[in-house]
Amino acid sequence: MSLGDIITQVVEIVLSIAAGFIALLALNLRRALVDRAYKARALWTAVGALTIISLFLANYADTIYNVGTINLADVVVETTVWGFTFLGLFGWIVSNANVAIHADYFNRDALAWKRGGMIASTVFIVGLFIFYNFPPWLEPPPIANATGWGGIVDNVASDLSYVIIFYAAAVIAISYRRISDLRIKTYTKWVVASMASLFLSFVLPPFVTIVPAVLWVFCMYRTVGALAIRTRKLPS
Amino acid sequence: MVSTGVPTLDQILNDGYPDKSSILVLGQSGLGKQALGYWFTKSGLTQGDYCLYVTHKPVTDVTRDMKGFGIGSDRVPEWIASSGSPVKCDLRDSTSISYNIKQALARNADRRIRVVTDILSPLLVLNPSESMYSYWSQLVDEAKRYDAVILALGDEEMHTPATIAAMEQLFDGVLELKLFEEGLSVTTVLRVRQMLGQPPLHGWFRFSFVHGMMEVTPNVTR
Repeated sequence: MSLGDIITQVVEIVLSIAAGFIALLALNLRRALVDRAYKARALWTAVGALTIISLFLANYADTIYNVGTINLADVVVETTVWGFTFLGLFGWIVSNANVAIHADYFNRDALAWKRGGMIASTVFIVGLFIFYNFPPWLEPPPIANATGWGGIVDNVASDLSYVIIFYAAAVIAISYRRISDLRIKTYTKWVVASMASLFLSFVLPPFVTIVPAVLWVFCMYRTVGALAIRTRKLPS
Repeated sequence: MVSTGVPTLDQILNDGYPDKSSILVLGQSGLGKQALGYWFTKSGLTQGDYCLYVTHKPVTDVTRDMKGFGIGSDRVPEWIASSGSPVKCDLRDSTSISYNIKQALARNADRRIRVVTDILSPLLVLNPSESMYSYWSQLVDEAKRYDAVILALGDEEMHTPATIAAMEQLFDGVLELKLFEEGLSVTTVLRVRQMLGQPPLHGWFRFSFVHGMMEVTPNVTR
């Protein structure tokens, strides 16, 4: 193991501890809040923080399980970790799009999100995950692999999933401009920054991905801080 | 006295909100201002009072939220909402909102009336503060001509302290909700800042929703 690998692992462990702490803060807030919509937002923020840990674990799982013989337990663990990361992040984005629309006094439904957009996106993303993680013994015959249809389906599915993520991000961005509540505006700003850091971690070359990971954890910390204003000294 | 719908809060307030009063509930979103409005409405519907809910949200959103607090839709208030109600709540037209509320009050002059509204903060954000002081002052004065209690829900952090102080002057009672952090523990707390006919109540109370009931318990003393 090289020095670079050791440093990366140490940083990932530190970031995972920080992410766990962020999730704990969000869950504590959830317990204190009364309104259901805001409780849900705090819960999804905790899930969003935990996906930081699960993404690290998923990358390790890929490294470990892709060497030697693959057994069913390996597949189940890898699928579960990736499932939590993938669906957790999507759920976090969806909950934030809902909050952004909810915070607009005029209830303007950006890009028909509440009129079917959210449900269609969720069904597609969850369906996509299930399709690609179908238990092998239930898997339908490959779609004419010989003719290359499988590859086309993969590409279309992958492109559509990017379209959906950008759709949800666009809903948040449009709603952000319409929010009058400065606190929710600040919160949404950090959510967008977190999403941007996450996006960077996917597009940057592997040797610099730790930088957006640090940014991601920092932005998630600020997101939790902006969830609700807390006071340590009650006025008399 | 008019029950708040939350028995433990009734105890603290000596049986509820004063008759013919206007109450302002202040606090950031998520702490349960709306829940206080729902339980106040539910209590009124149970007792046969006329209940009017004035909201900038669609009726479906509010009823879904009410169900989350265990409040069924077997009895419903009259709505002035952004959609889903016969009378619309258009935040760009504050005059028509005020007119419709006054009409509803006049139509039910022979009954006890409860009005809950969440439009205070949006109107204060969208209009000049000075015009809103006289707007709310007129509305509160009009309601006092009837056997009515108005519960207005406001987001304290949205406005300047001067605006909040000026609004407080218009209302007979002010309840305040905050999030109190002690170490890693976070609690929603409530205090009665002022209440008509009562000496000032000191101290903060823990405010929570447990086992399908709102509870105000005297656990926080500072």
